[in-house]
Amino acid sequence: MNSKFQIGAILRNRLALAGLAITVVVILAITLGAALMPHSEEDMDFVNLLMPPSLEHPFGTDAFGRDVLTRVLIGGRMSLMISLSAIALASVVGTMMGSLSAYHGGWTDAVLMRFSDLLFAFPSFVLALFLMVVLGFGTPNIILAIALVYLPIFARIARNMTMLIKEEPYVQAARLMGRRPLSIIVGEIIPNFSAPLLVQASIGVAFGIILEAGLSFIGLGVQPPTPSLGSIMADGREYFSRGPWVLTFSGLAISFALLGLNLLGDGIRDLTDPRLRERAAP
Amino acid sequence: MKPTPSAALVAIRDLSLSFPGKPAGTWFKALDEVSLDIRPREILGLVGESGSGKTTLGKAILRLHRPSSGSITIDGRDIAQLGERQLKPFRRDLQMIFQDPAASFNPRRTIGQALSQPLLTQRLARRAELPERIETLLRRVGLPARFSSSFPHELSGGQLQRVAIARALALAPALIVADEAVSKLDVSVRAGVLNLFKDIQAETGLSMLFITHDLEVARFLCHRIGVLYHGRLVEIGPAAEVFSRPLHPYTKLLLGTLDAADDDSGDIRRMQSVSNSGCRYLNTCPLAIDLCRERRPELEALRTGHLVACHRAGEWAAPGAVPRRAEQTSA
Amino acid sequence: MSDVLVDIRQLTAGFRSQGRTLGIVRGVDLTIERGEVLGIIGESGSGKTVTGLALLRLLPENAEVQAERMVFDGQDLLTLDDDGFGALRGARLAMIFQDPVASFNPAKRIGWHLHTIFTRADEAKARSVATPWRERARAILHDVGITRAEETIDLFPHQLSGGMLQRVLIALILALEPDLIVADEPTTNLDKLVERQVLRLFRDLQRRLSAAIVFITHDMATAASLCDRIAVMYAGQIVEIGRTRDVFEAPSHPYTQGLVRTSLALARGEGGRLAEIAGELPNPSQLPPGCLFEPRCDKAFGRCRVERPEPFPGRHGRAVRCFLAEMEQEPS
Repeated sequence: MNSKFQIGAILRNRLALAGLAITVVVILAITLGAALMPHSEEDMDFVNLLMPPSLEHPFGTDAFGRDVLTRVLIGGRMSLMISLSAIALASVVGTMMGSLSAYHGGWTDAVLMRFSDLLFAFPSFVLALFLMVVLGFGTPNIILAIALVYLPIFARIARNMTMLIKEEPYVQAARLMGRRPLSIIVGEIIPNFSAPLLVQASIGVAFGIILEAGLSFIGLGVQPPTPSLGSIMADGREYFSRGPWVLTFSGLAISFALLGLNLLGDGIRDLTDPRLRERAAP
Repeated sequence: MKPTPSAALVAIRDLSLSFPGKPAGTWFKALDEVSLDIRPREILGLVGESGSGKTTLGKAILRLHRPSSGSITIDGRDIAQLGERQLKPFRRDLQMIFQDPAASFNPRRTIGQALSQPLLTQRLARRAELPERIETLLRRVGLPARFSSSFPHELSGGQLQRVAIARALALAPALIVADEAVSKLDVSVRAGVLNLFKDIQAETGLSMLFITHDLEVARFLCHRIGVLYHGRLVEIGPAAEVFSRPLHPYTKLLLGTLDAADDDSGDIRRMQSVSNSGCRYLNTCPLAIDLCRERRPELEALRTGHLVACHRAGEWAAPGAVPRRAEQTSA
Repeated sequence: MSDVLVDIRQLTAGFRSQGRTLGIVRGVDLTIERGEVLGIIGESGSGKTVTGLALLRLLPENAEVQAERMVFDGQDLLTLDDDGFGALRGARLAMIFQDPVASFNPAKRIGWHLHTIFTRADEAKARSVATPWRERARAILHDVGITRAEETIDLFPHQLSGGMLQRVLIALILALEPDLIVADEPTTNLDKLVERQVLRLFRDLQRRLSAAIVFITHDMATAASLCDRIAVMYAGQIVEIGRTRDVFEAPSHPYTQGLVRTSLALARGEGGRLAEIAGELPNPSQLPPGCLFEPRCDKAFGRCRVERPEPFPGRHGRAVRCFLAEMEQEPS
């Protein structure tokens, strides 16, 4: 179960490896790649409006003559950052909420879980839309909205896992030592379901990117001129007939990133699922 | 006869515990007004079949469960309903060893970390002293000090159960509850762990509540034996006495002394139907009479220190008396 | 002695994992006679279960099984293909697992299971039975001590307790009338009282079917009460085999001696300390060069450390893998 084993196992699992490779490529591209680009995402070139892909502009240029590749990379960075922050927030708060709720039981559990049911009751995109309208536009609020949409999922996982693990003898032994509940939850319980959390987080980041893109696409998310994958696509849609590459490449960029994250998530799940692991090594 | 409270390390009176049952809204009585004393320096064995409530009783005494009613008195204070915070000073004195050694340890922590936890939590050692303390603890249970850096999955079941004993001992408790502590161990290592239990109790003088379904193990290790049947304590007394002259018909069945008479009525269904009024053992008991149906028997001392909850036990408690079947007595 | 049902020579079994094979069974020789109860005693990791499963070809895909000879009732099992083996297993070989629940289809009633077995048994024995199956089912459930047979037929497996299910399983086997039954710790999960009753059923079963039973257990007392012969396994080898009385009254291998001593001390209620066997089972990937028990043996001497003992034959089919047994016998 230690980390050394898991990294080694990821390298041996082809699916997980592909996911990891794609994710690494994406991260390198949006950090290092974006910095190396000769253009700036806001440099307008009014001579070369809506130019098709060329050596100079591999993804072409948009209606303002901006380099689409640069904008996709910078926008990808924005989208990923928003999604990562949101999932980080959701996983920490959701996990604590679910674990505390399950550990203490009683009416704490009832209140927290009904709250999470309430969030669950709405389709995620509708909920995010609603939250954006309530919270107002702006990057911090997108993060908050995505986090709130995803929070109940983490709370559910944490609650179910804590329910199981809290009856384990080693948790009872920790109680008998006189340790405080919070210390037991953080020290003994949560580390033992970090694998499903990790799986959910990697899928969650992909989901967050879609949500952010959707919100920005309809103009409720990241505001122009700051690029995000959603807002680039929204721009691209307007002149799709004259410059289809803008929408196509930004859409492909999202698909590529999601493919990587989902493969990675699946791979981690396969590797940490004891039923699948046992088959590999009895 | 009520034992004098001062003689007991832990005095349990009328302890009941119910769990929500199926169908919803009903309650399952896991413990039904159990009273017993755990004396200083004794190993008290608790025997019974699965579902008898022996593990529940052990966990209730350690306050891993909250009893529905009744009292658990230790050091003159009733801990039955205390909250987690108020329990902390008592935690040190009450430790447990679990059935499954592999599940008793957090798979992500080394043996050394597992052993330092209790010491640090109860502030019994400073960090600098830890390596030495851990080594002493491991030596004490017959393990080499190098295990300190091992992970639980690198040790065998027998070795882990020794570590579990060391972890319990780290706090120098007054009572250790051992729940089927040797039943998952391999035969060739079981003897060693049983010896260790015996040695440690003799050396430290702590008390032990040893929960087991294995009567031979109970007889080997325990000074006194309590027999549980579906949440009721039906018999308790000195081990030698309970084994050589059991008083309750259920104890006799467990020990196999009623085996021959009961040979043909081996209907497991009948064995499991528990009476809810009168004596719980009523439906299985070959010796039941009308009184058993009408009134629930309470624990009574029929010999010195040997208590039994059976209306008819008085008939055969005297030396030489033989139990007779109900048809014969009522005729 | 002539009525040999199963004859196995040099059975080895192991599991492939991450490019290497981890040996579990290391050269087991076993003959099972028609109608006898053979106990295989051992701890977890001793290879007793794997031996049983290998015998019925029930090991998973990644297992590697080899043997010099494997004969069942004159039929060579080594050359038999999977279909042939499946047919044999369905009719003449049976397995009882520790967890009876796993042997039942949870979606089908007890009656369905019995009906299926009746059909299969009748086909295998090429006979037709006029008695309606429900009546046969009721009779056979009665035989295993289930008094409410009529009701039980219509119950689902999950509605029965572990002890009851184990009884029904025995009823199924009674109906199948196999020649060999391999039972792997069938009473380990049961309460003592229920265990006693199930063991009694096993004795009846063997008497009625004159089938051979291989009874795998870790418990000396259980084995002693049921078995005609006992094989003690340690680290994948049979270290001692012989008639139950011989093995218990005069255990010859130091490992058997330790087990018998502990078991007897507990059974007799002796006080004091129990005899311990120091140490742990050897790690299958780091076996000692000599006798596999040598690191834990208090009687080991120089030869034990360098040479692995072969089974040394004694009287009444006794065989012991120990140099000491060889030395004691040689002068006479």
